[in-house]
This record gives sequence, structure tokens and C-alpha cells, in this order.
Amino acid sequence: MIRKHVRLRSRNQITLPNEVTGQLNLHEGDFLEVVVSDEGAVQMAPARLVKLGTPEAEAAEDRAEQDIQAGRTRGFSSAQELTRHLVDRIRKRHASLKEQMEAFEKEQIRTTLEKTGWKSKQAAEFLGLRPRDLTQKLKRYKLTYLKKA
Amino acid sequence: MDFARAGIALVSPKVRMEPTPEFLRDVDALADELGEAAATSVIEALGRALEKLDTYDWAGGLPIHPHGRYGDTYRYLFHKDLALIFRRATERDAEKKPLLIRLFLKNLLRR
Repeated sequence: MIRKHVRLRSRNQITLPNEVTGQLNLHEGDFLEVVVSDEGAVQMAPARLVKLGTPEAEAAEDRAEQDIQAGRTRGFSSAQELTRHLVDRIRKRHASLKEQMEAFEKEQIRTTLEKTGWKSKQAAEFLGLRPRDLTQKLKRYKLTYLKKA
Repeated sequence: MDFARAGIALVSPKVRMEPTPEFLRDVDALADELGEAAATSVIEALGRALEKLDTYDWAGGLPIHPHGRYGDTYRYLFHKDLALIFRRATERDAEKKPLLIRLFLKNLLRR
């Protein structure tokens, strides 16, 4: 077991230690599911499919059985109806993720521009972007420098 | 021919698909891993596989095998990389004729 302390930084960011990412085989772009219990305990797990025949798969089946016993299922009268529901769920999830990522990127750009006194070349370098890419993002996010009166 | 005496149901029981929250979390994980287009393609393949379970007698010919520690649970190898784990429960009338087949979709797993 690994037990580590991490610090919450500005904009609610944390950095997972290398030992943790190594143990979980996590890479940039992976998603994590965060579950907060009523008692305040936080559980974080990689949000990815588990492999058939592993202890994780057995645990996942146990949780599904608990769902069934507790009546936490929703009925669909046909495979087509269920498929439509699942495809819609995927579409909404990606739309939501895209919105969240764009909001995060906009905030990162705005903060960096403020730090650099709205010097776009310096900000682009700091953000790891080409100046013309930053210009395009400024247009897309409608970020403009407003001089203080 | 007396179908009832022969034990043959004249009207097929309804089949209802019931995904668990655990299964839906697996669908979300699939969407995060593969992206929208590829995940949608897999779910459509799953839908076509599930259509074959839309009837009462589905046992023959499908890549379905008994699975795990829970009763009436099966592993459906519907995709070269993925497996569906589901449980089948049959509700019957007083004469033991099947009225409703409930297919509880438990997990989507990597093979």
C-alpha cells in the first residue's frame, strides 16, 4: 500500500506522486473517478475498464450484484432503446468534458496573460504554445486586454 | 397439437434489459478511454449483440458462457476485446410459465 500526502494548490490542482502514477500505470490524459463518501472519505481510482478474471473484475461484479439487490437498475424494453440511451450518454459525457476542458484552458490562458502583463509572446512561451496558436485561442475564448481606467 | 400440454409457450415472454449503475460506469470508462466515436461504435455492436438476447431462447450458437460465483450469470463475448457480464432472472406465473425475462447488465470488461 502507498500512503502519500498531496497539497491542494491554486485552482484545486493536485500533483500525484510518481510512486502513485507508477503503481496505477497512469499516464497523461487518463481519467480518474473520485468518490467522496458521506463520512468524507475520498477514494480515487482509474476510470477504465478492468480485465476479465482479475480481482478487480470480481469486485466490480460484487458491486453490480449489490446494485441489483438494492433495486438500483433501470429497465429498457428493448436492446434498441437501451442502445439509444447509452449512445446519448456517451455524447453528453463528451460534450460536458469538452466544455470543462475549454473552461480550464481559458482560465489558464487568462491567468498567464495577467502574470505576464498581457505580453502574448511571453505568455505563449510560458504555456508551451506557438504565438499564432495562442492568438487563435484568444479569439476563440474572446479574451481581450482591458486597460484599467 | 396441444402446445400448452407440450410445455411450449405460445406467447414469448417479454425481455427487459436492466443496466446497473456499475455497468453504466463501465460505459463511461469506455467512453473516456476510446473517445466518443470509437465508444459509440462499440456500444452499437453491444446493442446488436443484445438484440439477439431479445428472445426467450437465445442459448444456441452465441458466445455465451456461465460465469463467476453468482447464479444465472453469464459472460457474453460480443467483441474481440470486450465481454459483457449479465444475469438472467425469469419471472413466472402460477403455472410456472415465463412472463418476463430480466437481463441485468452487470459489467463491461476487457478480455
